[in-house]
Amino acid sequence: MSTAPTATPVLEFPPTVRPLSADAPMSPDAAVSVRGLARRYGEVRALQDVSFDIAPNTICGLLGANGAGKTTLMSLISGQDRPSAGTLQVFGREPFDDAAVLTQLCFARENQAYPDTFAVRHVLTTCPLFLPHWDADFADELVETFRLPLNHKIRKLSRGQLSAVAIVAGLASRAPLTFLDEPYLGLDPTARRRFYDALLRDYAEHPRTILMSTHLIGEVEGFFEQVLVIDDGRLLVDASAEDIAELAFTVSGPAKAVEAATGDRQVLETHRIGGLASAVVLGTPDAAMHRRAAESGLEIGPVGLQDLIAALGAAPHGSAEARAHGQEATR
Amino acid sequence: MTTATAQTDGRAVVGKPTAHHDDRTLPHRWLRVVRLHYSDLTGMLVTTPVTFALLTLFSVAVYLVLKAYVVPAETDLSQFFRGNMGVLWMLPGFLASVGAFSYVRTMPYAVGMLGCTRGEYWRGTLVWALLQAVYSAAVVVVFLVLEQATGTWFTDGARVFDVATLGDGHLGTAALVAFCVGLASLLLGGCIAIAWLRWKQWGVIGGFLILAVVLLGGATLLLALGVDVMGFLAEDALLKLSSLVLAVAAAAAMLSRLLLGRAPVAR
Repeated sequence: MSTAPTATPVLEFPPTVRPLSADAPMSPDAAVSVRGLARRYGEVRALQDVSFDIAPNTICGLLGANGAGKTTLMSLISGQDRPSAGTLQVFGREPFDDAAVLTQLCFARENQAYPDTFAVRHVLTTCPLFLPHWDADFADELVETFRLPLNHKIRKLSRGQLSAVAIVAGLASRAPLTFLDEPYLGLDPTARRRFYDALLRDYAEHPRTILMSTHLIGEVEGFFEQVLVIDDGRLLVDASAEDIAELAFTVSGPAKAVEAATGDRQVLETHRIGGLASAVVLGTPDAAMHRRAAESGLEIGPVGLQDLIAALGAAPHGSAEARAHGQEATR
Repeated sequence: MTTATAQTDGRAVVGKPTAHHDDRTLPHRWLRVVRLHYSDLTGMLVTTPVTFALLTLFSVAVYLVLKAYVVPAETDLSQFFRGNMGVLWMLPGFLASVGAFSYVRTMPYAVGMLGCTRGEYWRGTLVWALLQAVYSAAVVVVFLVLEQATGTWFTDGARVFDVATLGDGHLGTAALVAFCVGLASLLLGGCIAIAWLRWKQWGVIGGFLILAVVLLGGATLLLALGVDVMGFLAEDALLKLSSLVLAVAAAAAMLSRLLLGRAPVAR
């Protein structure tokens, strides 16, 4: 059951997770520094006023709903497209068509188009031509890990095998800035585990900057040192892993008690099952909240990153004001 | 569900361009685009001679059928086959598609994944087109030599490469015409491919419309100005026409560089 919003206060995030202002100076030491970035396609605003920095040697998670603007943002940062407005620097330079920057990048996307006559082995022989940090031994190890058939045509591979090819290219590139755009599509749980293990092991031995978009947040949230949350083309949250863990909490128990206890807080989302409810609440629980919970038999607990992202995205599309009321979902 | 925790040791910045960055690789990256195009050697090198061989077989079959069942025995069919334009139609049709497919196949990979700049990709692809046009011309010359050595494929008249539009058996003229037509076809095909990448079917339709307008407009202008085209072509016609075709190739190359700047690299 959902309730229509009445008053419309805007969500107020704590300062620790708020995105940078477009007026903030560029960061010369950042791997990626973005201010006021925008991208329009005719009437469609794919990105609006996006500002953030990504420090070097960081695994940064780029999260958001389908169509939020994640791939568009990655395309701009990787120098494959030009922004409509704003400033963007990668390793201190504008990336678009800049050879000095592009030699430092590798973009592994889930829908990568390969030459249709290519076999898997052709990818392994052509990547080193352009990726100066390519590690052939690591690539061979990954091919064996994912059991990729070297002589199979790319166009005949399964969805999961295609993702594995992109992962091999992305990881073995050892590019100082690596983009992994939903690289897990079609991978079975075992293959995903192997991917995560290979990523972490290699990242520990060869630190670099990795920007990864994913919807399987629960499986990778422990990797991220920085999290960017995009919604409807706007950057909602720019936070460290520690700060985002404290962005919200859950209150669970009898539905009426939950509603009473959270009446004065910003509720992102409420789930009801019969007479019970669970609310995702913005902020941290204070003493008053703990007291009300104890009095009403409510439980206060942390919110997993996946549930938090789902709650942030649960509002009507493009309406930050409506999200301030949260959404009720009936299971 | 278990998750792993990333650990770093806060090493110094990796990858920021510095004075010690190895620039030796940069000047040769466009040559690596040439290598990328030739990753599929079979497609690039085998298809052209096979296609010419099939054209030859077809022409010989047509000749034999005409000679056996259609024309009177005393007719010199060889003179009619001097006007055989099969090679001249096949070259643009085949190589334009090669040019188009090469762009569509390799550009999203080179620029989208491997960090190749659009300028490097364009330069490398231009060199590839030159090499492929030289190769196609060489194949034409080889077939011409074979045709002459075998007495027109043992038929005494089935001319496929020893034709007027390729210089009547002159090896140099055949090579020049085949190179120019081949190069223009590859580059025009590339232009159409980039137009498709940018604007999909409307780019292709628009491209052909523009081409038609330019050709018809140019012809109309020449007629309106009273230019004596036949007089101009009375001497060294093939050389002059080849120069014109080269100019078209150059225009196609420039246009493709212009269009490549905004071509998307992903679906």
